[in-house]
Amino acid sequence: MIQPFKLDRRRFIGAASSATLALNAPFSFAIADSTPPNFLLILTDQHHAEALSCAGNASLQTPALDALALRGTQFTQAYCTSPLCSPSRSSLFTGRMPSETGVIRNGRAIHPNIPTLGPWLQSEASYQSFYAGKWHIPHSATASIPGYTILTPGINGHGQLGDGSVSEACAGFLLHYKSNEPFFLTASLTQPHDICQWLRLNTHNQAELRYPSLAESLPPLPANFSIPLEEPQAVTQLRHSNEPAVGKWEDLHWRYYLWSYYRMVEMADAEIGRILDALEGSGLAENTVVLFTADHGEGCAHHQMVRKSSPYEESVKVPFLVSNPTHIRQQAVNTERLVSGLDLFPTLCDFAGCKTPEGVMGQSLRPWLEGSDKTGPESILIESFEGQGLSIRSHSCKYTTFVEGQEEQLFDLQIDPGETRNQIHEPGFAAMLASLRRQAEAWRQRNH
Amino acid sequence: MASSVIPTWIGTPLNPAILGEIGALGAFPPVSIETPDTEETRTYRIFSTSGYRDKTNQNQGFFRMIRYPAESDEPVQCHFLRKVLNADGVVQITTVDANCRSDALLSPISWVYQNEFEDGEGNSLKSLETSETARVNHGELHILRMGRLYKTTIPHPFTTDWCLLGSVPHLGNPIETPFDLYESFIKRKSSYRIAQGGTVDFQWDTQSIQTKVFYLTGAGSLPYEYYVDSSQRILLVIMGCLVLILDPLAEEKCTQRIEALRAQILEKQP
Repeated sequence: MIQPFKLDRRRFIGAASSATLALNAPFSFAIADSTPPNFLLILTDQHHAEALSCAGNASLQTPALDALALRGTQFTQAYCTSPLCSPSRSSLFTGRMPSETGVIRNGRAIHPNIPTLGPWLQSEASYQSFYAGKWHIPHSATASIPGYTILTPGINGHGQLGDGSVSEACAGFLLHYKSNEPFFLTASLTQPHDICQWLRLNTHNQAELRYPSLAESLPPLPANFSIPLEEPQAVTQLRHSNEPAVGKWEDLHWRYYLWSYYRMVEMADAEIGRILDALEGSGLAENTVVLFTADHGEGCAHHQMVRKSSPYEESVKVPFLVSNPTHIRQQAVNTERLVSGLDLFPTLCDFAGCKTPEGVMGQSLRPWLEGSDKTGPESILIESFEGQGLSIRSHSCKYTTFVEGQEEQLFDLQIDPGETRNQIHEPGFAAMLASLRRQAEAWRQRNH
Repeated sequence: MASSVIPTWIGTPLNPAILGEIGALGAFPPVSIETPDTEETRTYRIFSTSGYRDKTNQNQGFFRMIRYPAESDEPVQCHFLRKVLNADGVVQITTVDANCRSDALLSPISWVYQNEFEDGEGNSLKSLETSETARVNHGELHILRMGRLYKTTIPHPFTTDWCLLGSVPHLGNPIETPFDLYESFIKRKSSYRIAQGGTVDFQWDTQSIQTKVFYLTGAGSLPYEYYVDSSQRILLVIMGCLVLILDPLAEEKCTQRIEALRAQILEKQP
């Protein structure tokens, strides 16, 4: 049964003291009460899952997101449905795969018959839906998104300047919000997507650092920096068209790229800090569930890739945090649950106490967040290259297949998290491979 | 595939010559007569590029700093105004009035910050306004934000990126002791230093320009490059794909663009 949660602080403290509340102990929110929680959804763009200090990355500082993780649950196995902005965003806001929403490439609109999150929460659970920043389904920055009140659209493709507008508009909104109806606010930042501008401005290899004082602070190259021997042609072509190949980058320039990318993540973190400070100052934090994720990742020099689009982990894996000061498991790091962008829609519906639309594929994360019944998918899907590529991520492996060329990759992520050894021809994986092929074929049959 | 893409990428970090090539620079203003008794006004056009030579390079607003004259033992009063054009005619307007120490960083000791938005039709959006006052008090920074007081310790020297526009032109030496940066007076970032980057001379229009370059680096931002001319004016600040360009007509240009955008919006309305 779906129960909207609202726990009076006094009752919560009383319950906690009598039940000896321990970190990561199961929470119980069976107290039936009235108002569903507010939702603050924070999105970044092109954010590598491990580009967080709370994910153990010592090359950057993300104090705002670290604090969010401390006050909630961090999922370390979270994936986008497609490593490209518009397709992935279409899934976040519909709970359906890009091949279903019709958004298989950037700049396409969601099929008009498919319900989207903001209007759905408004019609089914009396939420007021607000949006600030990047949308990109189809228009990147727009003051017109059906079903939402727009605070500011931000600046098309410019996070460095536009994100400051987005965070400040959200801060103002939170500090002024007085309605009795719950809100669903999306703060959609563009950073660290500005790495795309950086790449176009730093195409050519730099043999010497432009800023010598940075020499000691450049991050190391990743362990899987080398190019895999076997990979799909589409991925190889993607690498060859990107700046590092064109500009013939050497190690120093790669490391300067990483340094620059991490600074952009820190820029996003500072904007998030501004928003979270306002939430705290507004008095609304206790009854607001904060969710943070990104539309897709960034190559970050793994396999000598930059940007996104490839099915490698760095491109498809995203950060995913859910936080609330009293109602969600605190300081929890969940390494078990496979999370998809599809899960956002049903999770919010679950907390809001409303049903999900027909056809939504994801599953609510609420049981995991509250420590109750734990069910989750055995595998999740990732579409790439305008539907030509399909990846299936199971608990142990990732299988990728392409329509054209009969190219396949199979990585055992438990022993090879860097995806360096394609196991597609290994006899020991034959049974698993056959099963994954059947799943892929079934998905393709369903869609075509 | 790559060969059709390469020509449009700028390919190298922005510098004065490239900014000239992509049409970002106008003529820099002549040096005005400023004495210790006159206020110093600097207006900058905010320009951004997507990294292509031939598209999406545009002005995104303007920034103005007025530094009022002060006796050597008095705080320096500064007024800041920034307008940022968002998409669809939305405008963010931020003002700050600050009192600063007359030190190398022009460190602020108190300020009043106000921010508002206008929608695409020019209406003020009261429900998004923010304001705060701040004061340095015995090693702490006290910030009163929307009726609530926040106190934070000040472990390091600190300034703001906006104040640095008033201090960098007068720097004689690099600043090697790390300091904190309150970006736009509201976002605290750490471990900043200022290094000298030598001299850069360039020819623009009919002007032959000699500049000294300073680099600001720290956590949470790309390096800032300040180009300071022989009259101690910052002509350019390059921050990745974002640039401040000294341009006394920046406000007029911004206003014209806002009006044009809003006229388009009105035309589209039924």
